[in-house]
Amino acid sequence: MLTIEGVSKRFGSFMAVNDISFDVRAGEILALVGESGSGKTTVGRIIAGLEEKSSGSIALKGESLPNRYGKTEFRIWGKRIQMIFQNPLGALNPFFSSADVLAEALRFSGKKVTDVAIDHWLAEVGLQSFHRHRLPHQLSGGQRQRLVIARALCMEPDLIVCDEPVSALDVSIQAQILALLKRLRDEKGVSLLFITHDLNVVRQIADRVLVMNRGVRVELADTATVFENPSHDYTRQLLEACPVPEYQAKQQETSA
Amino acid sequence: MNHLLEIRNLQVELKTELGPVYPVQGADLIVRRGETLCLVGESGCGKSLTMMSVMGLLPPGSRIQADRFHLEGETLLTLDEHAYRKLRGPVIGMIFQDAMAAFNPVLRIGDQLAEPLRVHKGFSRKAAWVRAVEWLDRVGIVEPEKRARFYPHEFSGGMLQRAMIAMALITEPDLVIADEPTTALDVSVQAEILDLLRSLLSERQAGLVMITHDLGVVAEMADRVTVMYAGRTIEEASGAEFFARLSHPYSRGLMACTPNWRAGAVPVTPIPGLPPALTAVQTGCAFRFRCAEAMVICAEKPEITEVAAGHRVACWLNRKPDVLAAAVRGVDEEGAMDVDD
Repeated sequence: MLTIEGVSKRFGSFMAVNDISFDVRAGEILALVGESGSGKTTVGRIIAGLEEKSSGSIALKGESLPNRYGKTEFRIWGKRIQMIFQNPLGALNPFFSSADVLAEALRFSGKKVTDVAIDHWLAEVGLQSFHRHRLPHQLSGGQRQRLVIARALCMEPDLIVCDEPVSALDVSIQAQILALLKRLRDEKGVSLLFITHDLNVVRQIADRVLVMNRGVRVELADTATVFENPSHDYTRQLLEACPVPEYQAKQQETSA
Repeated sequence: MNHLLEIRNLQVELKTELGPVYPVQGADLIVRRGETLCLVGESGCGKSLTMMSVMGLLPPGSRIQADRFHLEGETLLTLDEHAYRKLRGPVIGMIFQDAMAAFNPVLRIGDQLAEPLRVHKGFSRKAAWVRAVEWLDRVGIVEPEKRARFYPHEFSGGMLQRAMIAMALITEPDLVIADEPTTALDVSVQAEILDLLRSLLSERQAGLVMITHDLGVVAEMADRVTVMYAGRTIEEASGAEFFARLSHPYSRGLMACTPNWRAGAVPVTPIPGLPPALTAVQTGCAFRFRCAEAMVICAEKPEITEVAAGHRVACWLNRKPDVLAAAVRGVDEEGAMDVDD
């Protein structure tokens, strides 16, 4: 559905992304994992048109994406590829109520703005009608992230790029948002590019996993394969470093 | 029996524009020398405020009460700000989540590390600088002489977190309080920072309180675990005992919503609802509104009781049948239930 071929991004003399190729299939959740500085966020931003690529090509359903985005390009492609960020408070206009946020998105994507439509999209993400008049600061962290998801979703995009969408949330809220994203994928068939450093979350939600290190693709495989049978040392190191909620007598060993 | 920090039944009342709130309503915890205590719970469960009261950093007009609130056998309840100033730094060290906000952006890292030594320990400017460079080296910062001259914005997130650990430990405190010290960091950096903290503290037999909601970090770090809900301690146990026998439904709920890649693609189960707003003192078990196993008796407050050696739980499910039967009889005699919701 989305094909990325030989994409690179250079910041001055620094190669943030170095000749990356992969595809995102229709209705799949592809996780993009790596440490800070691995280039994973840059890849997401390039796909969403927030960053120019230095070379390579990207195509959505066979149509080539522009390299440089202006107003016209965003009008065409913005509704087909949406992005969700880590910090929902920063992604919402503090003076826009939930209804305003959704109305703007509906208008932008050429849809009719009606009370019914707004209530419908609020309900899709588990918010209620009375939330429509709330401003961002009157919503909890989880509710804000739900609203951001509704905004992305109501444009009925082909792909949503999610950059660490649950990292800033409490564990219990995190579980709710993960369940929501998964359900929406199942029901709407939207593809998700899920960018994160949290491998515990990836195991939960992803169909396939792309591991990046220093701007380079390390491996791309089914989630089960990457976790049970990683083919690279780097992937193994990442897994090793990931804290799991199972008690080991580790500290006794070190302090004894 | 001589605990480094002992808190029994701590109550905190804060004044806000909208009236009083009660963010801590019965916190219990114990820290022993050389041990790491992980304080667990969702946002708004009173973990941070409990530790803020230990540090004497509650907003003005707050009131605190406790059966025991002792640091090395001495009560903290009667200390004034002047006495607290002598405690923060040399006796209690603090590590915060946001390292960037914890440093002064216009002072060199080395000077900021050196300051507590000069204020509390009477070091000369030169001796304090030398010690600061030593500590940067100990927390694994390469080229420490050069880096001590850097300003905070010239450090990466992981380096700043290391520098903050050095700043908290440089006065060799007996108790270190770390509030979500690694949530802002990458997994690989996180593992290194946790190892570093553990080795620096066990070396000196200091106590560490780690505030976190990440059970993965808890499993890696905790000698003891204390779980708080709605301002109250609802379960405490040793790390091994806690993970082997999660006894409060809330602890089990937290575990069920924590993803674990080793367990395979098992879906996580969210805990429905949110922690209550603490504008009133809770009656009964505060978790009963979100608890799948709630019973009629849960409208009565369950005392925290020992279920195994060193493992205490505040839940009716864990009471012996005869206690439960007697309590149920008591409720029946009262007749109507006064369940609020």
